[in-house]
Amino acid sequence: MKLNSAQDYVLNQLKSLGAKDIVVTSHSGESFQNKFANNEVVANKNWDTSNLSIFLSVGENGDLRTSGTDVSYSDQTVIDSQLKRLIKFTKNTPINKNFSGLPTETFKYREVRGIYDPEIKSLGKNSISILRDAIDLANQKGAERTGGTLTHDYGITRMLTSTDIDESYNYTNISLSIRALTSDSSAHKVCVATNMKEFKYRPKVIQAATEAKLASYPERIESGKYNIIFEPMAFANLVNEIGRATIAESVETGSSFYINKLNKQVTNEKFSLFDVGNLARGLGSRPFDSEGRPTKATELISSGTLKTYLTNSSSAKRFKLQPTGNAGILCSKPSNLVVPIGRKSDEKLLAGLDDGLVITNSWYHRYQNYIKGSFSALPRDAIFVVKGGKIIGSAKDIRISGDMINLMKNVDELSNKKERIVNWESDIPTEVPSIRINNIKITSV
Amino acid sequence: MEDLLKFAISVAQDAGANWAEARYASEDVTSFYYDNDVPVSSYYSLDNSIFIRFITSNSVGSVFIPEPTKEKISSMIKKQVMVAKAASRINQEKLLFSEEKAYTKKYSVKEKTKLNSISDEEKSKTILNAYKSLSKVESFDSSSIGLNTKITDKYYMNSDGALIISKTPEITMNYFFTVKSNGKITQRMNYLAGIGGWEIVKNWNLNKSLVSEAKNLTNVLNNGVPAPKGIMDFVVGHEVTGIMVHESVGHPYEADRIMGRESAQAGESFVKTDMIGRRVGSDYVNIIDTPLINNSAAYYLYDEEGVKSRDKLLMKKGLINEFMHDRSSSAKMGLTSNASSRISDNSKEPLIRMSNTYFVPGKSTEASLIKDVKKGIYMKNFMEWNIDDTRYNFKAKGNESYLIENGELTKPVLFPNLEIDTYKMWSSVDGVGNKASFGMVGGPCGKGEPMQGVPTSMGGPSLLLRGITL
Repeated sequence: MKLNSAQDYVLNQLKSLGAKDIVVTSHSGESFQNKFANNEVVANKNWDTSNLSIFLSVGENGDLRTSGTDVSYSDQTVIDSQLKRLIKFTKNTPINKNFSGLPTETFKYREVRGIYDPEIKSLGKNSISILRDAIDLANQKGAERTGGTLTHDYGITRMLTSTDIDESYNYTNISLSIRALTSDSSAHKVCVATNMKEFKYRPKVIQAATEAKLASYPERIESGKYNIIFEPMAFANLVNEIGRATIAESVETGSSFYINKLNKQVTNEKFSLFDVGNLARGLGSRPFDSEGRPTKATELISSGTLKTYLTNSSSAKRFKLQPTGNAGILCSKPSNLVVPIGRKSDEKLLAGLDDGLVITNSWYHRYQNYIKGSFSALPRDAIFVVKGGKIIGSAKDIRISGDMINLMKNVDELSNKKERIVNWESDIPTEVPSIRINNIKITSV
Repeated sequence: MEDLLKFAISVAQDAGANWAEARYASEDVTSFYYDNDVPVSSYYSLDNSIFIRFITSNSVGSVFIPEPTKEKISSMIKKQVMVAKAASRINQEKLLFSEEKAYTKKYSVKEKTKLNSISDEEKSKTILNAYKSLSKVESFDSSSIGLNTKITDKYYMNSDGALIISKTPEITMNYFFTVKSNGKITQRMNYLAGIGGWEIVKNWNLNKSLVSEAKNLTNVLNNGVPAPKGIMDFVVGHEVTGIMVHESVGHPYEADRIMGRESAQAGESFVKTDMIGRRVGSDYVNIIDTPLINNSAAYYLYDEEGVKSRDKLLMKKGLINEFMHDRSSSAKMGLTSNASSRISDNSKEPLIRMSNTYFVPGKSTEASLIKDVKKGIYMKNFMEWNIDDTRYNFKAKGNESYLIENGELTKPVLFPNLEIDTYKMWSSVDGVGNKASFGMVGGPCGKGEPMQGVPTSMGGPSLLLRGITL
């Protein structure tokens, strides 16, 4: 069967088999990746990303059992046997006390601007020209080696529900992740966009190569407390952690440092955070969430005060909050995390750092205790040492540690220029400026 | 199925590929997640897909197709061969690939109790019973427990003539719980994995082990003293040995990292290709990676390039002895592959991965290692850990830990840090526990773009580390 026909068929069959809440989502598209290392292309990958997924409940309100599956859709006989197994499987699961049904309101949806560009869909082997240009440019600007990926995707997602929703949207995206390396230093930048016009990768490549060169001859520094500027890549990693902590289900399972923190100060008042599910040209944007509720902008942290958790219909009910349109298949999830910019230019942010560090990237953020938010993480790539507002050298082999609440209460200033980041460590699309945070514990081996 | 794989390989070769491989997999998955006693996710799927990888003049290409048809296979391969050929014009270095024996083999992993005979109710009940046991501990606050099963029927074929047909039942479990006592909170996260039948789950003794862990952590909260400062000796239990081995020997000995292929994300290595024979640790340090442990997290007889599995002695008496290789990295060093190529699922390219990595046991009892310490720390397990992307700057923060005073465990200690560079860490090993102190734990290991999380296991005996700065 064709994917769309199979999708219609699955919804009707599940209704006839007695399922109550049903969401059938089809996805049709492709993903491409050119991976490079040591200035060479080491892999050229192409995925057919088509699939058909189902979420459903059986039973009566207050007594619902839920399950999910991906099904093979090419053969009607195979579909039939899978649906029968799914119904049996679901009836055998215990009651999901957390699930209170799909929303029953009638929704109106607005197109999200700029999330589809046919030029990306037809990019094909032209991706290789971009890659060649990026590698050559990085080497011209001082990199000895480069590594990274050029990825582009396109697809159409269609949602059918038992609540009579039949909606779809097209999307595209493209990203270049490039790490420039010298013999003893490196710098990493990403350029992500939903359209070719905004895919301005060359400045990022130049920045990666320039910073890598500038970070040469890194030295060990003393352990102690430092004032630190986090450039957008590094700050996006922290914002991803904050975003995950605002998920209602994270709060319920003890994997959030925002338990019992609603309407309390959780960061410095200079910091605010939004989740914007319908962000124009946003990489995490979509017109509706996984239960059909329209996406929207939600202020999560307002001048330092936690205003709400990210919810779906069921978790909103449990927390007595308004649904935020962030339903995922299993639990709520952030879409695009957006940090409002500050007032100072990047140059003034640096000039205001008398004695400290600039961290350009980090990884391996791990918690000793999620509820307290106590963690450590490792800065990687270029780490600059700053005296009197000027870069005087670079550092290596350091670790940040602290707790997320106190860390964010020590926010000093944000820059007035933001970047979009999606990366290995920051898988939630994030739009952030640079930030200066004071009094951070650094250890050095 | 073999016909479809032959077809895919011939399409790639006709389009200009010098070499090609294809694998067809049917992946039957069930997954259950509970927050306390609430089943927040119950999932199953049966995915059938094909993955084809090929080498053109000087570049590698791959395609992944769910619901494969000959038409789709043909059109996607032809298109992607053109992309790979275009990419090969960037490449200066000659693409090498080791010559390997082409095996024809069919095998099924042995199961005492077949995984597909276990009902969904039984799987749910396993989680619920674990929760019920845990919730009886007075300090218990909350838990999240997940249980996943996957049965993979796979056909692997390459243009050298290899054909490997395998059936692999796999079980993974992860749990996370919080205990609160004496105004303090602590948490425990763990991951268990095995390849085989349901007997693996029975052997985990979940109900007993979870209660024991929760009670021991409660004791730490109630009676723990602040970690002392200064230079002292450490005795670490097998979980800590495991993470040391995985992060500071396993990862940096992956040849693709050493050669820079994973430089952008997973990172590189403090080890270089010319460092075979270089001293990194004391004479006590012997470390092996092997997929050939029955019921282990990463059991396989042939890797994802059709190469026959074997043990790899990564460190021998403190010296770097061998790297983990696939057919590409081994050819660059003039070697053959040692079968380290793995995937997380059928949509992914094969990468060099650890399997089951362990520190070889010695002769000392754990009690004798402790007795040999005047003042120090016994770190049984850990919660927070990390390491830099060259695998040099390591940290593990103790969860259940105790003070050692005059050769005896005296009182619990609150969350001591083991933060040390790789050379110092392995050079500080001054005593190795015997088989009685040996244990392995699971670990989901991340690498690649897109990220591939593969089940691994790691472990060893208890170790005595001298002169650690705390």
